[in-house]
Amino acid sequence: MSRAWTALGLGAALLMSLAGGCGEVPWGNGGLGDELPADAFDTEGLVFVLGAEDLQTASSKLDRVVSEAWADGVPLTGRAGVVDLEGHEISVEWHAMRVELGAVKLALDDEGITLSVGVRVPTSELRVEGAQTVACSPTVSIDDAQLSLHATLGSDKSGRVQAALSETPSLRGEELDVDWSGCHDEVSAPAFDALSLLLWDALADNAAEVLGPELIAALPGALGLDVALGVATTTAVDEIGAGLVRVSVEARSSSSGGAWRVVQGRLVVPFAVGLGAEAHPCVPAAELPEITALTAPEITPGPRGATLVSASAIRRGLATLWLSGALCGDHATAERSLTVATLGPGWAPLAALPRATPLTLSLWPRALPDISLDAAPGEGELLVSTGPMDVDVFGELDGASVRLFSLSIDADVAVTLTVSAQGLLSSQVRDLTLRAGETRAGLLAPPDAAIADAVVTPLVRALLDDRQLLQLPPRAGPTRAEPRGDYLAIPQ
Amino acid sequence: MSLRSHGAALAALAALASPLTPGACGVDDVDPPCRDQTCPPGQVCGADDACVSIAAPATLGDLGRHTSAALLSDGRMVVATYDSTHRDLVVMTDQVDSAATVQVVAGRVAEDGTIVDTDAGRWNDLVVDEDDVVHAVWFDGDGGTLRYGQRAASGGWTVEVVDGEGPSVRGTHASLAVRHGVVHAAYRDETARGLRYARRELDGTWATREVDGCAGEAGCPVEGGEDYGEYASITVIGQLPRVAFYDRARGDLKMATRAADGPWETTTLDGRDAASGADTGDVGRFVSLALTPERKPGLAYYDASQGALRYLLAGQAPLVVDDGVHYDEARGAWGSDPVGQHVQLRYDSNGRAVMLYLDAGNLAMKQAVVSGGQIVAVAAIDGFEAGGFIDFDFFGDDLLRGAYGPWIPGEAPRTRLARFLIPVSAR
Repeated sequence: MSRAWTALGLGAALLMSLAGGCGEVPWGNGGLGDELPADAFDTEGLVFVLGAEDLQTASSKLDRVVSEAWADGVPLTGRAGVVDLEGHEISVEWHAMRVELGAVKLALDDEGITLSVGVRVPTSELRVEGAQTVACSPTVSIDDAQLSLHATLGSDKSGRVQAALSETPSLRGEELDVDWSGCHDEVSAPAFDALSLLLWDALADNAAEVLGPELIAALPGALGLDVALGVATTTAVDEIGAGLVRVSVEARSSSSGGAWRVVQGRLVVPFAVGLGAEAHPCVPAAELPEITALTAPEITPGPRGATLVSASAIRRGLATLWLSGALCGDHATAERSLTVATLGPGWAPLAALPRATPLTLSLWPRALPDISLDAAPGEGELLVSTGPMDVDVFGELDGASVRLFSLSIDADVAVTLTVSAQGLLSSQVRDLTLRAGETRAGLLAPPDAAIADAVVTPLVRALLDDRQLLQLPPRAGPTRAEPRGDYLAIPQ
Repeated sequence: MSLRSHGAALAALAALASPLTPGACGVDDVDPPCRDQTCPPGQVCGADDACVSIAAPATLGDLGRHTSAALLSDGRMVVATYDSTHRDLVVMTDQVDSAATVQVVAGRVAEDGTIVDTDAGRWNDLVVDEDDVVHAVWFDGDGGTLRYGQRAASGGWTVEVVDGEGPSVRGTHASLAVRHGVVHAAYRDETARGLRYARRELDGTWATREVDGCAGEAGCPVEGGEDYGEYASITVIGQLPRVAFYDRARGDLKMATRAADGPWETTTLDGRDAASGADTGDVGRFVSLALTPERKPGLAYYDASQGALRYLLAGQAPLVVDDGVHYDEARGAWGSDPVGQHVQLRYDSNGRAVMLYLDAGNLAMKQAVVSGGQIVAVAAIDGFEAGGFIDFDFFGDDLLRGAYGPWIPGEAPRTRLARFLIPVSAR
């Protein structure tokens, strides 16, 4: 049986509590495939909100880029020219000037993101030339200066977030110094200031040409925005057939041209989420829920941001998994270790079986499940209605997996989602209401209707509780996902 | 229980339950006194200082687990089964004009005049050779050894320890073949989690050896990580043994073959793509190996990934005989049940492959027939309760005679022994 959870996007992967498996979403470089995209999009199904601390985290990632790419500094070679008052062209040249790079800082304003890199230049020699002769050799030194690059975010045709330089780079600092003392005989003093300014701008351009492409390319990834994907993958392949899920996650530029906005001093980057399915033969025919209009996500102030997943995307994601067969048979249950001891007490035939007898469950859904966000303050719950499903309970006897009994159930489950410091998103069952219906004997007579709920509830709870759903980036400490309006917010 | 204090009762039980009869013990019945050590195998000193057969229990317990069956040349069936209540190996032999005789072959020994209950008889396999001699191997749970027994024309058994007398536990998943008087056994070493092979020459000497489980996979063997040899099933082609077995570590069906010049070679038959080495599923549990009339090996086995019965004939691709898929009217969708566990394969004289196996979802036993590479019948067997450890042989070309251990309805996991004579399904 195949489980290709790793190809699912967050909207679907969040719902793996019912489908089993723990996947890492392949968002490293935007795993865009050639498959047909999903056909229904929630235009703001996934929204990234980045605060000041998140920018600081991104800065640290860019620091690593800098230290790996330019550990020995950046050698610059260039030239700047000016025409003096007498009409003579004077140029300043530098050759293999070693620029040492410091920490990277990111700042956000309404125009975009400013990326500043600390710059230091040990005393280096310049050449001032006029009329093709060397006029003098001043020296330059820079300490504690900042090279600033300005970037805006957009998207390419595949929905990937891309950063682009939007303004002329600049080099500013308190200790930018040129020693013109050897040039007084050749260059008029008033020209020194103009030449100095020209030199800083030219050095900024020169450095930006070398550093810019790599830093700008790394910016979306450092911000955690390289999440675009378009995949079609089988979620359940078995003896009955196969089911397929399509997931698209793509940034879309707004009418103003950007794929972002600034709200309350925080960077907000929405992604459209598309989810579709090709049905597995194990599920009855059903229509996926429509994408419903949502209110815009509420952006709250604060240093740390969040990943927001819309209720609509979650609901459709769960239905997509269901329709693709991910809940059929033992696809969602095989990885759970259940034993006879997991069942509730009060059922006489249990006494005949060793407590350690392994159990497995086969689920056969009858109707679409539903999911909603509980907006009650502090509760932070997802409310999942499984819909009616038939459950076959198998036990291992004499080396064989044999059906012990069957019953129909319908359960309402309140689930909280937590994220560990290591970034592991997992579910915890807060409340479970199970309604057992029709029973069918297997090797054992089934529990009476009066006690069936009590016998089976621990089994279902064990199936759903503490499921590891998704590996997210590590974070400062454990957090909990909470409903926020029409969105589920996963703190960064 | 003291044998002396219950000598009369034991002697009476022995007379009822065993074909063996009390015999003289030593030179003189009175002097010297009877000692257990001087009695023939299977006998101890009873009342009046006479050797008597070790008594079977007054009633048999739950039979049916670890059942193997074979037919004598006249069609009578011999069944070996494990009494899970008393932990004994029980052998039943059909009689022409009366009820089957019952022998407790192993599971109780005499030590210093006391009957000691031991665990013997699981993982048994029973074979009737060309001369109608009954052979059996089984696992001695207390000793952790593989035992071999041969029944003499008189009905008495001689029992030998084949392997496992050291610290290793050996002898589970035993399979037996006898060809021209040479005995071949394949079994598992539970300590080493590997496969072993034993051969008994005509002079009665045993040689045992480990069989390599690696079939050329990269990185095999994994230090401390190998786990193979379950469901061993042996046959002999041209005096050369072949053993099919399950490699649990890889979820593969494998075959170990001894070459004419002595070395063994292990190959993967299913569960792995031959070209890429990619895992294609967890297959090979419950493997049953049999020979066609042309003495080509065929195998039936369980596909745990798909919950299906698979069949493989040498030189052909694996065939899914029964996938357990069915349409569920109530739900309006398709479902499936695991089918193919506890499968047993036999060929008739025309080369038809007949498989009997468990449908663990519908709790039934099923019969499938494959002929000429085509599935010609898959059907539940009327009146058969769900169970395991099925074994059978052809009784003529159109009847199957055998036995198995169905779980007692409403009392599982208790089992009973069921014997059957059914037609080959033609549907």
